[in-house]
Amino acid sequence: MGLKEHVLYRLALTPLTLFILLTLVFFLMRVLPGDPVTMLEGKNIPEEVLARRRAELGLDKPLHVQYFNYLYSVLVKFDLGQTALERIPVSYLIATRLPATVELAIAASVVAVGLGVLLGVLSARYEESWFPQFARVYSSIVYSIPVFYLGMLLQLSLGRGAGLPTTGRLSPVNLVSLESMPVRTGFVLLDSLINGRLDIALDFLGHLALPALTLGIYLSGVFARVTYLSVSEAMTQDFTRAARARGIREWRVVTRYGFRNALIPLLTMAGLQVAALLGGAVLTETTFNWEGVGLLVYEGILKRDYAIVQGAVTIYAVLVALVSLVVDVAYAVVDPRVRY
Amino acid sequence: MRGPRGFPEWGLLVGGVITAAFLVLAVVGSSLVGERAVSSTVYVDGRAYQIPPLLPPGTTIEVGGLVLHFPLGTDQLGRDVLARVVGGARFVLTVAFFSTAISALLGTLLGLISGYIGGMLDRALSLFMDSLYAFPGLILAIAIAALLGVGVLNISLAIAVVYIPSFFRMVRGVVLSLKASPFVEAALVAGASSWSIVLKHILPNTLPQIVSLLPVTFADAIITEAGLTFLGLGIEPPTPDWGFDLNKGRQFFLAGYWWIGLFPGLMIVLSVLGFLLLGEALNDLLNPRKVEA
Repeated sequence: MGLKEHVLYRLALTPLTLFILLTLVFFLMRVLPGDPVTMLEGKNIPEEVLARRRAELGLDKPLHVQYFNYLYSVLVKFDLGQTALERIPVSYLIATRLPATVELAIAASVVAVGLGVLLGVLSARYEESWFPQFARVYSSIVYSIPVFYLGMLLQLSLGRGAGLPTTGRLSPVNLVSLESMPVRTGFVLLDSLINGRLDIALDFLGHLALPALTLGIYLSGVFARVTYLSVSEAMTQDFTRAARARGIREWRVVTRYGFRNALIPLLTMAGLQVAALLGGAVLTETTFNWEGVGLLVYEGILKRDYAIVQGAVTIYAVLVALVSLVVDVAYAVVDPRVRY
Repeated sequence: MRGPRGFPEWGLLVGGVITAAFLVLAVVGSSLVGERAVSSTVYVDGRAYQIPPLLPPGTTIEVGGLVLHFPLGTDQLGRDVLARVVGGARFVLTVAFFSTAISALLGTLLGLISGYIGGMLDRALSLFMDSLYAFPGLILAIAIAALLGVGVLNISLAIAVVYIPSFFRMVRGVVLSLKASPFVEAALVAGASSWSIVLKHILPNTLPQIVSLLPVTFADAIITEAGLTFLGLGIEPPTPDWGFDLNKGRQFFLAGYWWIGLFPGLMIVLSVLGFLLLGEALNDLLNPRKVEA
């Protein structure tokens, strides 16, 4: 199978992954105890109203009919229901919030992998020093610290101390000028650059710094560990010994010969961390008032609007399916063995 | 980042001591601090006095002739931070206990059945568990907790769902590797029923791995619980809880009243570290083959 065939094959599999994940979401939402209608409408609603709402939402139908209706409305109509109070389509709300979550996820991934690789490579290079121990302790602490607590500590230290913005995606003034831009994609960095507003782009990056750092540090521990383990393993093998014997400098041996060995384990880890990234994003967005899907979920919880929570969970299933597609394709690009 | 010399031993000791301390706190903490964790009112000779909010750590005040000491200060509602931090151990650790127990029981049971019976059932269950594993755990727990509402058992159930696949995959793997082994075949030939083979011959072999997974799951459940209550799910005020307190004190924390958030957060980190350390040490001791890798 060539690279092109592999990508096509993987693309063809994605609807199946999505279908399985949506089935899972449906199963958990409908089969567990708890009634979506009383969650949507509140507990002190007369029985007739409850019954009417149930019929409106199709919840009076048999389970398998509900299941096909759910799949049909999500996959074909892109319909995720309406909010309880204002009756706004949930899909519209999510569409306006999705770019912010993607921005944060990308930035945090860059921080996580960058920081992790740096720590891992340094640990492998200075194997005999105190550094590997330090990196190990770092990984354990980072694993044990709730991401919102880390965020609050960074808000207090780097935010209040060093003057970095601690809340929102943009300063209020720039938020207004963003609204009136002729070309809009929803991605602030893209919009501000397309429309030639470098000042807004910089303001955005300033606001992005702390949330991205928070989520990135939170995820960096495992990347440090994976990098260290694979690089240090490579450093004991014949091909690195041969490289050293040829007089290549140690740093170059580590980065050119050892680090290449870490690429595939790193990719595997990146795929496994997608779930942690999305979950962590909900808490990070809440901590920093970052107006993404995660903050929407928090608002949904506060307003007791279950349609929002349910819609967002569905969208997260779609995101998981898409990102696993990207990771799999990246696999094939990096590792020729994948495409036999 | 290999374990330090003599790791399993000191890990077991330090992790065990921290874990034991938190478990004791969970059992006696609430009754130790009593009303002071939930109320800012003090009664002296039948007269009510309000404790002022946001007192810094180490403050001593006198109300109606009574000397009150606040080593960790008071929160935005005038409640003793130390009392809340100590009292908060009960809810989170109870939830972590129940969710770990539920996920271990269900995951083990399903893993045994799925691995032993095999066939279509095994494929369907594995597919289901794999997708459950791939799904962001916290988001899943949020959705379930929002549906189930407040209460220890509800939030425990929401968290348990997240960890069922870990136990399922591990137990199923052991079952598959043991199914064809001579001692199972011998039992089969001797006429043992499927149930007795699974329960008497296979289950005991999965126990070391289950046991070493328990503390790690417990630690993770603490973090997930903190995340859920931080988002306002599963708990009813004024029950003291670390995650919930962190969210409620957020604005004041950022305004410079650092003690409101610092201490509940430290409790989460410390308890999680304790259970993790215990888990890693147990894993090294119970599954020695994995240490070489």
